[in-house]
Amino acid sequence: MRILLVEDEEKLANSIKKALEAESYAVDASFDGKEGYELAFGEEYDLIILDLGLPSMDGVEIAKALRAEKVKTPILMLTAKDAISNKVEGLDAGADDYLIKPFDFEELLARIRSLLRRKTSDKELVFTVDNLSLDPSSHIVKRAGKELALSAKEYALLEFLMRNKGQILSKQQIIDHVWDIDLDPFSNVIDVYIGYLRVKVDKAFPKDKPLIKTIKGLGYKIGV
Amino acid sequence: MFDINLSEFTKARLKLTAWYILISFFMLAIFTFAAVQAEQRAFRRIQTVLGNPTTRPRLTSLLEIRINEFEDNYRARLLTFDAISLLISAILSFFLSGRTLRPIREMLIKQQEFAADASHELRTPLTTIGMEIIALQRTQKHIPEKIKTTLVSIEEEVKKMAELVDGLLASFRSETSTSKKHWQIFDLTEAARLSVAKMASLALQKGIDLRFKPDSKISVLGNMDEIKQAIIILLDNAIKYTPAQKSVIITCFEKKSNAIIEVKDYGIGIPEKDLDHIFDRFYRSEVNLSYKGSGLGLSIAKKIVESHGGSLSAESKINQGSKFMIELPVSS
Repeated sequence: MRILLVEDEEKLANSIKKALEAESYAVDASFDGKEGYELAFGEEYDLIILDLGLPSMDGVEIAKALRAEKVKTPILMLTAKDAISNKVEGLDAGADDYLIKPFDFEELLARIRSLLRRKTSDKELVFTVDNLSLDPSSHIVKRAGKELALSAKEYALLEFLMRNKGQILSKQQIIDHVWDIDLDPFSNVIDVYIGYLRVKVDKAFPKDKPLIKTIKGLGYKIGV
Repeated sequence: MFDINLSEFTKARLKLTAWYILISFFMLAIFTFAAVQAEQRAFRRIQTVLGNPTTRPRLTSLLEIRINEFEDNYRARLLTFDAISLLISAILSFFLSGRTLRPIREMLIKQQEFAADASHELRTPLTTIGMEIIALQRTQKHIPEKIKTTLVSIEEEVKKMAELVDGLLASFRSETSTSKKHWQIFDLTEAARLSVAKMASLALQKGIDLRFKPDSKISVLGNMDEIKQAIIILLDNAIKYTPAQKSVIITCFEKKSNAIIEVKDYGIGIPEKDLDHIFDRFYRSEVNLSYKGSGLGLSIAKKIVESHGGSLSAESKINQGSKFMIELPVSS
């Protein structure tokens, strides 16, 4: 899942980015309000984490502007101000959730998962396709009862496929939701990672039906 | 947002007004006394010069009648004047004391705003430090053991610091003005039970016997979370200052339409000279210096209880233990 983080404290933004990437999220960090808004408006994100106090355009303004432009991406507001009036202002501006600094990283992760769940129409806590299951809170992936060892990117790619099981996902969609903005759009990294996943998910279970499918000219999908 | 305890200021204003009135009263009394003295001395002189009952009996008696008449009149007027002056001075005193206290109040509000701003400003770097550590822990696979323990220790201190900042902010902000409209009737016994449940593992860790003596339901009007916070502060303190193997007892009962929660420990106790100050912000008794704490807990607890129209009191004997008592009005 791809997250936009708008936070003017560069050090904080970078450390959150690093920690979230270790949790296999793709994260774009922006240190400025206007730039953050433009990214949020122009790119495809699954979640926006927004600091309240920002230079050039503050969190409330960004949230309001995005909602006015019909951008429905869930917004998690991050702030050092904890007065009730601040919370109300943030939520009324269009934020979906609110976290006060200093926050517990585990709590941030839990809230991110909850907001991502809210976005998908089904409220599944564990995604399953046939005998393959993926638990977003523990990152445990199992097939036929056996735990699979996936790298962070492999996991992220599989999670995105499974969240949208049965749907054909184009390479561009996959790039938009699994990789951050620094990826070269002409690279074949997706084919490479699909290859890795096939080895671990399908080829390791020769008795079971292969689940990851290539739809020629369109993209990939997971499903029976 | 920063409504400081206004009743405190009203009280101070009334007190100051009373002092001003008392001063004007004394001034007026002295002035009246002097005026009466002067008047009497003047008439006595007239009487000695003009009056002579044997040579001029008629004039003397007439003079005496006139003087008496005048004297009654004069005193009545003087009293009326006094009464009016006192009334005017009372009004002016009230106005003046308000004026005197205004800059003090403004300064206090400014100070509170500063403390709140400072707390806010401290939060961001704290978050950054904490996140840097987490990012390191989660991205670096092979961290040497020594560095690992150091990171955990820094993390603990960051958490402590964050709690301190939160506590500071909470103790500067008056919760009453914002949260009174969210008050509800709740069961105090239940609040105590939940607080005990929360602190049970800490007591167990320290080998302290935490005993809860509940009562039947006691209805209290207020914010249950805040009252729970106050109870937890008291329990936390009791557990902190009680050695292992001893007990901490929390009792809940109703007495003369007061709901009472008593937290009794058999710990080190508080010296008598400190007992008056333990509710002051950052005050820490000398015997407690070896224990860790922010010095904010009790002041926050007191503030919470008082904002609910109750009181928090303490009794203690050195080396025998302490007893803290929350008293709240029962809601009918």
